[in-house]
Amino acid sequence: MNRHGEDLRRVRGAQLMGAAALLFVVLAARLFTMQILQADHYRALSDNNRAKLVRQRAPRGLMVDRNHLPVAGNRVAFSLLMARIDAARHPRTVQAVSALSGRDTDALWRSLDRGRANRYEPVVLLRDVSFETLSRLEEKSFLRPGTSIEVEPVRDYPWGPVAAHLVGYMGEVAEADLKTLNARGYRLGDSMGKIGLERALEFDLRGRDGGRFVEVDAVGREVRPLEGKRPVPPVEGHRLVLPLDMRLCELAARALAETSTGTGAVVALDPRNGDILALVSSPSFDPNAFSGGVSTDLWRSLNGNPSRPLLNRAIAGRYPPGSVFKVAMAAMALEDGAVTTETRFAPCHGSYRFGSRSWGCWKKEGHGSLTLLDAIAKSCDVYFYQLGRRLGLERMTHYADAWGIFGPTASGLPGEQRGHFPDHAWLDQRYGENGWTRAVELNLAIGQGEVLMTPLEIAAMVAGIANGGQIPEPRSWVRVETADGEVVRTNDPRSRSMGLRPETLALVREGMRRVVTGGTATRAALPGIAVAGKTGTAQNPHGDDHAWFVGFAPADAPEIVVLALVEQGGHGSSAAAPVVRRVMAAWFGLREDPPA
Amino acid sequence: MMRPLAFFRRRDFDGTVFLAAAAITAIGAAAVYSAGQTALSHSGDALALQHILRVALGFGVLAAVTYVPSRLLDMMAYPFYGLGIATLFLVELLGNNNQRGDLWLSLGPFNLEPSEFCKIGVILALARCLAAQRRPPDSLARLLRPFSLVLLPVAIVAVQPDLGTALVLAGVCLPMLYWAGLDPLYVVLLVTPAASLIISHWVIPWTIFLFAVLALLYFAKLGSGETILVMGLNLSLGLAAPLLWGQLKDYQKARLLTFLDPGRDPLGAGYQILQSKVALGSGGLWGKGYLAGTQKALSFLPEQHTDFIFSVVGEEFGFLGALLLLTLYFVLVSRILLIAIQARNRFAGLVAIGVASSILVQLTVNVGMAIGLLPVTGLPLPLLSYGGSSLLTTLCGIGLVLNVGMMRRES
Repeated sequence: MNRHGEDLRRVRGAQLMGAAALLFVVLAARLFTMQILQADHYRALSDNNRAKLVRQRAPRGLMVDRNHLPVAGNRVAFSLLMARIDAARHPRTVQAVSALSGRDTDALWRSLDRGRANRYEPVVLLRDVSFETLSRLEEKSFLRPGTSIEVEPVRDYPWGPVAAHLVGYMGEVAEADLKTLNARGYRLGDSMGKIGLERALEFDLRGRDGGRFVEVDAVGREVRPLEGKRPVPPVEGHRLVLPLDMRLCELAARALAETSTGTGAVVALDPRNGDILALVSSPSFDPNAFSGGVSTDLWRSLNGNPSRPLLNRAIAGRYPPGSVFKVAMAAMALEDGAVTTETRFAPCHGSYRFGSRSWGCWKKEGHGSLTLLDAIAKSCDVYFYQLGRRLGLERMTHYADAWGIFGPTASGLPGEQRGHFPDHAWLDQRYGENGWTRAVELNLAIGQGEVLMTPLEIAAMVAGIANGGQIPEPRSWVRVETADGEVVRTNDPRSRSMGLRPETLALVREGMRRVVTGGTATRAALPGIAVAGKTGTAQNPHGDDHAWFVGFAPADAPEIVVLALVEQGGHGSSAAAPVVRRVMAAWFGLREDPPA
Repeated sequence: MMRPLAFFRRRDFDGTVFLAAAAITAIGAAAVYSAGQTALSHSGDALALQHILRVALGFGVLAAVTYVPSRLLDMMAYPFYGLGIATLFLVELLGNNNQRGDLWLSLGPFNLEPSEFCKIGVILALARCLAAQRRPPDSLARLLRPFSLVLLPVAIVAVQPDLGTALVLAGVCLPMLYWAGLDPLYVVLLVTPAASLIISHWVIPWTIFLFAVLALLYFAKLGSGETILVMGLNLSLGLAAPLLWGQLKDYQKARLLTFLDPGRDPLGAGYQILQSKVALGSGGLWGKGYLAGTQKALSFLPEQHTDFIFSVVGEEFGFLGALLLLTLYFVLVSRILLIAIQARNRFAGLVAIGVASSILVQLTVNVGMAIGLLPVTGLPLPLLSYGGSSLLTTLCGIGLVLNVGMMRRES
């Protein structure tokens, strides 16, 4: 080897050493940056890494009725949890859970997939597992791998389907809503009120989840409690005091169920303050079935049921009011001076001729010549056709707007619909300027045609007539209290004036009294208590007539307004009036049903 | 009893290399024990015991290799290399392909990683081959033999595909060639095909790159044969890149993609790098204390007793501990390089360069990965990581260095 080569290798050896030194400097500089300059940042990350908050669900606030009877409470339930990763390892477990619970496998996988963020963190697979299911899972131990069981409070409704539409039910927070609810502490898989009061007062009822801090490993498994972090106790949700009388609701639901179709709604209001004493819709459902996560089968059967059990007919069903609307018509006409008590139109011979058509009265043989009060009592269509003609569409519209009877009411209930009254502009738009005739006035005068109202709107309107012209806003809750009984907020009674003269109101009430004493609704009469009211038999393009009755009692100082709607029940007098009578009898503490 | 002590007292025995290696190994044993102490398992005792047994075995090998007459090493170079290649082939045929893509050969109780083992063979064979050539490898003809020696195992390992080890093997041979007198121009030209492989992903930069290589070849006034070869390699590797990408396992693709975009999959491949950085960064200046690393204790660190052992040291001993460890490595590597500089025998110098480069490349790749500068490759940290093959190979390599180091005053 030559001298030159050796020198070269010395130089190159030194160069390599320099390169090594450079590498070390780079590595050390990077370490300096991370461990000295950014140490705080990484230390925070490291602390967050290992600290996990295990949530303890707050019990939801109770609901009690006006007699302090529990309406909604909580019970302890078992939830089945599973982590995505375990499910992937043991797909048989998921199948077995599906077979035992009746929820389909796809739905279970979907709920497992929700916890995408951490495949290792168990998510609720089945909420509120029955004890039998649980023990069957335990029995077949090979079905269990990867699952765990957690105890948490679950909503409980002791009255079951009674007033379920008003009370509401619980369901899982929709993923779409989660973004906005996140700030309020909602997390994936949480429950919240879906309809009714559960939903309307969700934020009062919810309470604040507590939690304890635990140290977890890299896959999220709990290792031990975290030192130096106290557990935060959960705060129970606020208590809700309802104006409802659950026993009355139960009776109303039963009375409704015992009608020919068993479909409809009953609303009972206190006309003095708007308290909703009863609000039932039939058919109903058991809200308890939703608390643990509704099964696909049940959901399908509820949703696909042609009688639509999930629809709250009392606030979201829009119906032609039929003859019940004659009460409003009479008040409008009296107030407007279109009629007086003495006004007699052309006598009723069973029909009335207008335009090219003959307009029938419900009573084919005719009512003869009637005064206004008797026309109300007998519900004479021919009288009201003429009254409607004289009053005119524009005046009807004026009063409809002024009274605000085509809601929605200020009940604050989610999903409440508003009625509809066709005014001039609407008819022009719908049928063209020459596309309709004054014949609509005849129809509207007997509550037919394009006038639609919800049962609650009618009840509120009648409550206004009953109490002296103040339409009360239906009150679905009275106050919110802490679990210790401290009042958080109250829902004070509100009302709006119909602006009617006392004479008008007195006359309409007298007419309604005659309906029960000698008119179409003698079947609503109670012994010892003066009942007033109005029947309605509304034509229904989809089938048999809807039967209405709305009454109040005592007639001279009303304490309660009760409305019954029996869908396709036929005559108001025979189908709806007895329901109202039973509810009123119960309210006034009359023991036995008086003879019909 | 006196003989080994006398041996260590020999004038020309490089005590610094030995002590640095011993110190790193000791830190490694402590770190492996700590890495095994997690909140969920206390397998640390068993792991550490096994590690210490392997350390003992490794130092036995080191002593034996140090003792062997140097001439025997020279003679054994090619047979050793042949054995290494043979085991690699054997593993291709018989090996149990586990999920991580490493191929292991079970030899009784020891799982030997042939690719690790092969490194020693490559260093020895390349040293012998280059030492035998009287003139520096400065032409294509003289490059052919050393080149084939390296490319054969690199190709086998790359097919597995164990990219890390292929990188280390290639990284070992370049400094050896350079030290042996290879023109820097050739070093650059040798690197270009690898660069082409990566750059070809972006079409326009790749075109510019190819023209730059062509210009370099033109101005260096290289012959047409060399020009065609270099350009051919550049073009074919660049064009084959998508094919090779398809050959990669999913985890390898994920690691590379994650390196380019760490936020891509924070709970998957990016998770490892992030957690390693959190462990190191949260260690701060002094560290969290021995056995007190929380990231480690809660198993946030993946492969924490092998690939990410450096993060355990950094978390528990802080910047000072990590710096001390790096300094020990620097002392080790620079002393080995010094042996090469002072060697009067080309073979000895080449072996030292090879071993130093092997340690340096693995260290850079491993630590670079732990601190998020390089993609995750799954290479162990020499002398520190748990794992028999790597430890044994590295200690054997240091034994070689100590052996040839004693030749420097031989005449």
